Amino acid sequence: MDHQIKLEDVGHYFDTPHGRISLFDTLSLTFSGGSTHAIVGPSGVGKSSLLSLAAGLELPRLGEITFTCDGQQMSPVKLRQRSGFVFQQFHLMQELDALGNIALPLRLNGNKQAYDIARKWLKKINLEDRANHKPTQLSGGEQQRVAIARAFVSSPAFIFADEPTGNLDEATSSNVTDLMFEFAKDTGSALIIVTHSSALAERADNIFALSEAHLEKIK
Amino acid sequence: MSWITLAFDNFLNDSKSSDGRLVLLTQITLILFLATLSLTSASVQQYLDDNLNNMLGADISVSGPRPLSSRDENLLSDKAADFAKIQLTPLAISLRGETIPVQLKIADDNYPLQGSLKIGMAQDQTIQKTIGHGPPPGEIWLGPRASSKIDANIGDRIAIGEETFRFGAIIYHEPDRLMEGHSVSMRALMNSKSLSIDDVKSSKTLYRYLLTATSEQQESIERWASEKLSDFTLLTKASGSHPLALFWQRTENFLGLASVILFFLAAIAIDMANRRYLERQKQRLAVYLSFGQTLAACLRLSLLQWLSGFLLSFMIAIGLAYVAQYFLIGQLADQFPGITSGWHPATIAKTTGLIFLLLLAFQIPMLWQLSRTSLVSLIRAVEYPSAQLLRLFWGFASISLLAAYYSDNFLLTGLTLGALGAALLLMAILSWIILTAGEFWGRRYPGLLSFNFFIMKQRLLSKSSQILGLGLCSLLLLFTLMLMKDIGATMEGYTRANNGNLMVAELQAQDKPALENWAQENESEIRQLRPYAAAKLSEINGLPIDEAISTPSETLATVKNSIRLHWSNTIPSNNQLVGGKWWSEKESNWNQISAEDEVMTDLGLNYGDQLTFMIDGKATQFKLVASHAFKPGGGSVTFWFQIPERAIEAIKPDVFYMGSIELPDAAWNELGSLWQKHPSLSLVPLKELTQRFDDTLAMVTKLVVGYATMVLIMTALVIAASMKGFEAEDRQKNGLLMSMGVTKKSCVKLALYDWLTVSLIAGIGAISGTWLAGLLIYQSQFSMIYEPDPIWLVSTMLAIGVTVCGIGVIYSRKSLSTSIKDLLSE
Repeated sequence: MDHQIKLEDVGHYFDTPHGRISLFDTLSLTFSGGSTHAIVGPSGVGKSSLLSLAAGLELPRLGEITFTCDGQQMSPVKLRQRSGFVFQQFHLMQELDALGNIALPLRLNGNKQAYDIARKWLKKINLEDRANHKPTQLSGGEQQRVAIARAFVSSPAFIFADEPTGNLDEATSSNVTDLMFEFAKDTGSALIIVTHSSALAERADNIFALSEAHLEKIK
Repeated sequence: MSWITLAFDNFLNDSKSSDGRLVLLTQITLILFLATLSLTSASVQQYLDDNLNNMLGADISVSGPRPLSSRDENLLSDKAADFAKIQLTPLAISLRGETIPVQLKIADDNYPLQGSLKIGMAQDQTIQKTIGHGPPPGEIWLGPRASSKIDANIGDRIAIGEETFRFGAIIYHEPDRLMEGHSVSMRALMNSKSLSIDDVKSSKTLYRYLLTATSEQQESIERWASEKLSDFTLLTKASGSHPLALFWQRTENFLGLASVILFFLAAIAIDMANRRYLERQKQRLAVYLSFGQTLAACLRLSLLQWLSGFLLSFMIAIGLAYVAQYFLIGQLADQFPGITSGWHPATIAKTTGLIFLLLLAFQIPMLWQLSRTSLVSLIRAVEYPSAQLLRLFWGFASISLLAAYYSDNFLLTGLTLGALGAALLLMAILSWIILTAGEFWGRRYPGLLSFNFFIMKQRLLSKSSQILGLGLCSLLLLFTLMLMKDIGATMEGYTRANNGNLMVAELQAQDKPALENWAQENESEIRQLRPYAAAKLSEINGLPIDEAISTPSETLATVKNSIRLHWSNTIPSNNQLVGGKWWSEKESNWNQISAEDEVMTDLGLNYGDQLTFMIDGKATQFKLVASHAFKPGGGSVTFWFQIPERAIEAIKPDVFYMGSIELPDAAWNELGSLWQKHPSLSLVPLKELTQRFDDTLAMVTKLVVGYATMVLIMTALVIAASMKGFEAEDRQKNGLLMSMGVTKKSCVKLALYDWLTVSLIAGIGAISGTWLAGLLIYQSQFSMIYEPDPIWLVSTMLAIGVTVCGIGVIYSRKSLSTSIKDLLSE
């Protein structure tokens, strides 16, 4: 699979009424398809911003980012059609049940078997008996499992996960981590995770440590 | 298809929330009101069109205040295939000492020209027959109301002055009934050979010529009449223009303006309910973006979702509107006999189109905000630009456009919107001043109240929109209630303001000595008797009035018939000069005229305009030099147009008088003898006048109560939306405070301070706006002197404020019980 996101000499900062907040500059790295990547580092250094840039949600203030899928360079908007997201706050649709949440991306793409496929994914995350439960009736771990299934259900090229275990206890985190890596392996999706958890980062093929000074590849 | 299904699913999910239900309910109420109005209007319009075809009794009808010269009459009959001549005049008829006023139709042998008469021999309508001719000479036929009022039986001799006529039949239907419009006068019909009609003079006499003519002949007659008969009204089946059409158009325009106010309320309710909905929708779209959807596709989904809501509201409201139309048409049956309700698909399509565009316009600021949705917001906090100003501007612009589309009275629309705008500005400024001052004061005196000001100041923008919404709502409600109360009081007061208990609506100059003698003999006091001539405004600055004025008004409809022209060298004691210069006795130029202030506004007249009046068939031109207005205290009889006395010496018109008399109880029985001797004398007992006012008042009250109910429903929706829309913020605030150890009681107190501040600013804005609207609108639009009743205004506003505060605090108490839990789960 010839997928890749390449960041070259990327710099980023925010302008606020109280002055400029610089995050990083001249940062270069590559996320290759089919692999798993973790970005670690202390709070406030710009891990989530780096994830947003890599996902094409924001444009870098300096440098260049290129997105390649199946050997072809593409725009950030096109990349998003080949991406999935897992958020720290889960962001499930409150009005939909577990099954409806997983089926949603497929329905939006006009897939008529959306619910059948979603049901299979529900089984994969061991929540078949909670199919008709709304997010408020699920625990945090269960909600994140549903969110992970929803991100993987359309087999995207890249999955971007922002602190996916940040709101979960240790045991649940481990379960969620297992699921993510298992699904990444099964679907061949590249996984790019921002995390504080060293246990989660250790599972990745590549680890990048971001600090105020620079970015270092430690694995 | 899946997008449509998804949009519908989203709509269904959202409508389960209270915000969604509120928007839906607001839309349904609005569509129901406007669709009912349009359907009823279309039914009336259809009735008027059908009526014109079936009830004209001729192909063409020419009516005027004078008989045609024999030359013109011959010319007209030459141009037509067939010809009938009618005279309509108000007269008194007597039987066995009882005298009643009737509208007498005197017809020649050719009447009816088209269609037939329906007559009967008994009151119960059991024996009726259709005939093709009018009464023979020597007979009088009476309408059912007249015959029952005077208690006449077939064969009785009915007296008109000294002559008597045989009561030959009760007349149920005349084929030219349309021409009588919505007159409620009692009717009678006679042959022109029975009565020497030249004896009977009245400023209200109408001469009508009914003609049968081919379309070419009709064109030729229309051309001829427009050149030669400027004081005549011409009506054809082909060209439409039912006499009631203008009356209905004015009613429609008034209701149109009323709808604008309801639209305003709906806009506020929808905007407030949308606050929370917007947050939810933004999050939803951000999640969709994370699935690789484009922003354009997401916005399309949002629009489809809104469309689903509109369609559902439309279906429910239209169903209800048809039911409402059925009941309303039943109410209108008195004004439009035989009217039926209909389906009117084209009307519904047009109304729906207009509402659709307006509701869509309300969505545009929200769509703009949604178009700023970013997926990044799911990862970290993103500050979205506020669209407060855009929403305000957009709402105001849409409503102004709608008002301009509906209203025929730009002054009224401008004044209404101006008063609303001024009140809005005042409330916005007050919000800033009070909250800033409160917060400043609070820095020195810590406590719950100062904390309230502090938190409100921090949420200045969102609090302002809550204040403005509630303030506008209260203003509209207050103004509607005030108008309802004052119109009622004015109408009641008007009946009391008349001097004397018998109105002399018309008295011929030759009958004046007889009336004076009778009054003296019967110890009655003539309170006022003012002279006038019958005149018809035919041209303004050389243009026929239809061309000179395009805006319909009650005044225009009235001046199309003969009006009363009064003369006086000095300003009458019950008038005051509003503008221009009144003539002096010494001036030789008598071609000057003064018009009542309201008439000038309605007809768009300016000083210096040349007004041409037809007086006894002769055209006379006057220059408009002054305007006057009614001043209480000097008698109730006042005139729209007044000229110098010198003009009368030059014109020498037929002179009539109007005024009032105070009759002692014993004199009432003697009135019949006076009336019988002078049948053209038009008298209206005050009791009857009061009855007429009561009937009108009852109709106006019904209309205003119905409208006030709609405003109340909309206000309730706005209040509910305002509370719901801010519920999340309040819950979060309360949760945080309670987690910091603040007691529930203190939280309720805080909520009370919050609602009191909101109600206080909204109340001041509403009272000021109402006062301003009253000051601007009463005098210029309803000719009513605005006397603000501060006690009523403040107490009504207090009642509204206490209700809002009470519900607000109860609501806050309810949200307190779950707030900590909710906060934890959030």
